[in-house]
Amino acid sequence: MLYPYLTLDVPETATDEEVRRAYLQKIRIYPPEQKPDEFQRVCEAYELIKTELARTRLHLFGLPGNKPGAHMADLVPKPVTVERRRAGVTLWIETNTNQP
Amino acid sequence: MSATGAPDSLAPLLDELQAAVAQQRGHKALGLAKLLRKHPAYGPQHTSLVARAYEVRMAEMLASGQHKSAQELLQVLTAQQPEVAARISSRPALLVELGGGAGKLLDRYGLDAALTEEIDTWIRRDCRDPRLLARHSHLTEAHPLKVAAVAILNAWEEMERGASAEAYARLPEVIGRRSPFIAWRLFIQALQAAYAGHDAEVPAFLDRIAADSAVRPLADVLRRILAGEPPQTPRERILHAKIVVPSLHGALVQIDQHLAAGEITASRKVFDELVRQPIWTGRKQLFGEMAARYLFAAAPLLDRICREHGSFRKVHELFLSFRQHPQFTASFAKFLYWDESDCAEEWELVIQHSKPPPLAMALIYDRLATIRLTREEDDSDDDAFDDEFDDEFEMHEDDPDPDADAGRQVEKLWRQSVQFHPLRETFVHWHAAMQRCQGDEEAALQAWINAFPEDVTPLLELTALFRAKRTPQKALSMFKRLESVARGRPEVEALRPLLRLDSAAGRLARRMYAAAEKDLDEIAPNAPEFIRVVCATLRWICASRSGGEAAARRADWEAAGHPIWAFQAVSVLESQWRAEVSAELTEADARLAAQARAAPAQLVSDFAKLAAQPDAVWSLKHLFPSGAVIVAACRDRSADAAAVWDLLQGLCKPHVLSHPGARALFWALTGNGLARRDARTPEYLAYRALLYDPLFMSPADKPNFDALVDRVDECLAVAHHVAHASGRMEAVQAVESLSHHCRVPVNRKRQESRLTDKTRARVLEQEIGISAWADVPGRLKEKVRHSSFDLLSEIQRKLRVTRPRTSSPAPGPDTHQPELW
Repeated sequence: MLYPYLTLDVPETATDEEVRRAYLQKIRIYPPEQKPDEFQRVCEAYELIKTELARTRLHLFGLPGNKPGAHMADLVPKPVTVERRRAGVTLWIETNTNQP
Repeated sequence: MSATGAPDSLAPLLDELQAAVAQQRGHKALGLAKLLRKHPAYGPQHTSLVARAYEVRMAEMLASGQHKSAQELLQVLTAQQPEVAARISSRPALLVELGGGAGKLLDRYGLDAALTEEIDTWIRRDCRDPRLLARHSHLTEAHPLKVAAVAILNAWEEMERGASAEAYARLPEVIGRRSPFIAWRLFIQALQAAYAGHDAEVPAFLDRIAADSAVRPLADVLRRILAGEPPQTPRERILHAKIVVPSLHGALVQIDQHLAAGEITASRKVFDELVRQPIWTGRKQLFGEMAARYLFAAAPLLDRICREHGSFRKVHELFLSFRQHPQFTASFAKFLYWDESDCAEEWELVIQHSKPPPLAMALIYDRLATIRLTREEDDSDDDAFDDEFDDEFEMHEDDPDPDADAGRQVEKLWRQSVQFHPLRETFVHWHAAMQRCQGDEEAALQAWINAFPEDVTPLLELTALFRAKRTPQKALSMFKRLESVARGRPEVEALRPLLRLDSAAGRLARRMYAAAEKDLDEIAPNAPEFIRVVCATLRWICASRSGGEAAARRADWEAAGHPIWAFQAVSVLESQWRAEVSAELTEADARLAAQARAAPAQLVSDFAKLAAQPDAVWSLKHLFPSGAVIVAACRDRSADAAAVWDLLQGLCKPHVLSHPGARALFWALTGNGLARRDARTPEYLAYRALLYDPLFMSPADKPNFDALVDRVDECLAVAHHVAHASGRMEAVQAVESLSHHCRVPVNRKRQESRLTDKTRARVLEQEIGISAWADVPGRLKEKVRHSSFDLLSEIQRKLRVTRPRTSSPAPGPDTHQPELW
């Protein structure tokens, strides 16, 4: 299972509201009828960090169901391209010009 | 007059405008320029000042990336105030050109030296998006600015796609050192080095980008990302995530592969390198999770190395490198938690090192309490086992009770937890633990109610607790609070008549007959039948004691029927409420015996309904009738099959299996059930196995341990076989579940492999013929008498011998089987 903050693309300091917004944004991208697996993944991630209590529990006790043999690489997403580190021209320029 | 020759009334405005222009405060300057234009004294002499105000404002917009807004401002100015627009310098006018204008100024690029210089300066300092030139509709493909901008974009896009580097290789040819796009070229080269993982080369490119360059902010972002500094804006955060996080994946895959191959040193090397990377800023939790997972994965390897080489060096090395990281304690505690071997010391270190916030403290203290409780329970189990077989260590009354002391310590931890932050789950754990170890359940529930006054669960539990403690008035007061938050809920409404019964019973025991009658009057006439029978019984007792309407009450009591329910009510009154009702008990008993003889089937049916009553005070939780007459009725074949099954299921629990009276009842019920040869046969046989378990028997039964252990296995094996053959999965599950209640070690599979169809049928037939311990063949009973101490020692000895039976070799062919009896 991916680390939930990475699934929802929120910082570890995110508030309940920020997590909720990110969750709503993600489920718009992954509707359950079209992308059920991704939707399920997003929902699971949301459950794990949606409240301060859940986040504290995650921080203290880790992801549920950790078993010996769980791969460390499962915590982070796989790179989307073959090469290392890619962001995209538009994203860079938007960062430069402060465009929304 | 002012210094500019303006009338005095205009002077302050002019002075302010000039100051704003001088300070490059475009927004303010534009506002003041608009005021100046509306002033009656405004004249042509002020046009150049207003134009300068517009220039400053447009430059300001340009600097903040608001190209379109600047273009629109210039267009509005040209349309509305051409005289001012004519005085605007050519540099801002470029904006219009770049935004899709006619390209007149850009056409003169390279021809007019001053204009060329101006355009170059604009590109160097202000062009934050080369796509403006690369996609300009009025520029020809051969225009040098378009050629350079397109080369920049092609090289960049090629690099982002991870495609061939042709355009990137041609970049130095197209964009020389004097090109206004040199900063863009350097940035792309820096980015390419970063993408290729050559981080050391990146600063060489970035340092050559001029401080006033439009690309400088991007260079700074890249520099910050590579230095591991946290992103400053939402856009930077997205960029950071896109660039940095996926790079982790490769390293983690490498570690996984090393661990899978058992290469602990190689995995540690990659891990240590990963830890040193600056990407963990702002990702402490991810790091903690990853470190704990590494420890979790490495632990079995380390364990094996320690066992094989007898050396702890590698463990020491691993933890030494981990300890250098401030998050080690938290990760280590997390790893131990997953390994189910976390201990109080580790969590205390976490508290000491990381000073967690109150919510985390509450969770940690809850965990500490659970750890402590589990440890105490384990110790307590060991002590109980030792005490059972060793009478030498008797506890003296003066000694402090270690269990009680441990209970107080655990309770203190839960109290601390809820002081930090009250959590429902903490109260649930606290209450469950107090229930289990018979600690101060009331304190736990009171604390829960104080923290969450609207929660129904603690109110229900506390009401039940007060009822169990026979303090009906306290239970009634708690019920009032319960009503205020959950009136109308079925479980709350079901309590109402029961509480009145409790109150009446308490008063009856204290001889307050009138008050007891009043309580009974509160019970609605449409209450459940069981409650009506108990109510009639209590009324009869009250009336016979107080002397009022005794005959009528007695008639009502008899008319209510269900003698076993009435008997149960009187028994509870005597045993639980300590009421002096021996005379009434004799009468109820006589009525019950009469029914057992006259209508045994009805008795079994009523008994089954009584067994299904969920109430803790008036039901069969504490005691139930099991005299010879009842046992005889339970053996009667006229009883309804469903009632026999319900009764056995409702009564036969492990905690009553040692009671001789109850055992007689269960022998009768299982015999009755088996004789029917119906679908429930496997379940009855499994119950029979429980009855054969010698560890539930008293020495008075004279059990033959070895023979009985084999009989338990045989019964379960046959039950399992019959259940499978019937195809009823619920029967298979029931047999499995009942076999877990056996105290002797069960080895059903061994027996299954030995039993043939013939022997199975014989076991079944033999069991059908048994409905009492007296019917059990003498082979299963010891012939030699033992004292109780000797018997326990013998059982203990047998257990030690019996346990390895599971690994005994498979038996031979059927012909060599020993006789089953």
